Amino acid sequence: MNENEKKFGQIYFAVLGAVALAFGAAELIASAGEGFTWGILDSSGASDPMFLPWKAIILLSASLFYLSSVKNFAEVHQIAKAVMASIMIWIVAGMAIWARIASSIPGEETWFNSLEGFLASYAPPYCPEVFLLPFSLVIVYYILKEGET
Amino acid sequence: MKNAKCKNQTKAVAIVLMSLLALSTAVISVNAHMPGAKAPPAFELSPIVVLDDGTEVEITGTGPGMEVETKGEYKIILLNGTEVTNMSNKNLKIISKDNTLDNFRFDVCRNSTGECFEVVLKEGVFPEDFFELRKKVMFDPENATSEERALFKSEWEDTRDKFLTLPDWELFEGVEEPEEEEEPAVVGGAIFFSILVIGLILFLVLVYSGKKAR
Repeated sequence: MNENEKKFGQIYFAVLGAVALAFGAAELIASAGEGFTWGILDSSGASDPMFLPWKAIILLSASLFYLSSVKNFAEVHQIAKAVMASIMIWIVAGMAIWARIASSIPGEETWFNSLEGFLASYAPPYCPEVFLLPFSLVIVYYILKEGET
Repeated sequence: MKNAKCKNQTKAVAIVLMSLLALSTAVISVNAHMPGAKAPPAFELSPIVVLDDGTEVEITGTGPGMEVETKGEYKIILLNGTEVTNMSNKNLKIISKDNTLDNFRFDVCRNSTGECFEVVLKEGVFPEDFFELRKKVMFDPENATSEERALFKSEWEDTRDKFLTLPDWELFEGVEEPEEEEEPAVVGGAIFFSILVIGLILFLVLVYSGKKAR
């Protein structure tokens, strides 16, 4: 890992950690109340209200891991923290995506959904973890880089 | 009245409209009532529609869904309970002199069962000073100023346009706004689904190429 990659990783995961922290805090507040839906961001917990506080805790923990990994980012233990944070996001986002996939196939009154209903079930809003998922994949680059050394 | 889809489960077949001077004063033959009025906006008058045990029935007077044995009736009842028998325009104009919002009340009844529901015009459809101005301009024109005449004409045109263009739930009490069915957000869903598929393909390519490299 060269100096530029290290610098980029530090800034990138600091920003990602801050965003995750904001999302986590928002979900925690949302779980205390009735949740909220803001544009395409959904923290209503409509599908599983019991899981909403857990998701908030997971997001907050992930953000802490991200933020604590920033210092001396090139060090393997620090990257491991970012990897762990990313895995936490992947698990929660994966669950959310899997829930959509599972609910998109059967129809309301028929065995299989219509094409329109199938596509509509993937429509926004999405939970914060789904938004973080693509950005957390950047860690794969650093894992591969670390594997080369 | 357009498409008054009342939720009442009334067996509305024969129609009896009771009012002093029903919508005829406000709606259709615009030029006959207000010389010099501007042309009405584009509008479509469709029959009153009621739900009869969940089935939509159009009240057209002669159309399908009407009881064939009972002919539809149209009655004008004065506020004091007297039925108007002389339905000539001249007489209707005379008795409409003291019209107020209370005169715009309609009872739609099924004659065979006596079931009725009432449709009442909402407050605010007519401007506050409309009837006062109307009385002055239409029945005592010599004492009406040109400003009052112009104001009444303007209010009359606005009110006519409301009757012609506003949906029934904005005109009448007791008419529920139909719930609009939300269009499924297919485009947003299709984009997300495409991203998922592309992501999965990339992941598989990455895994496969990694295995091959080893």
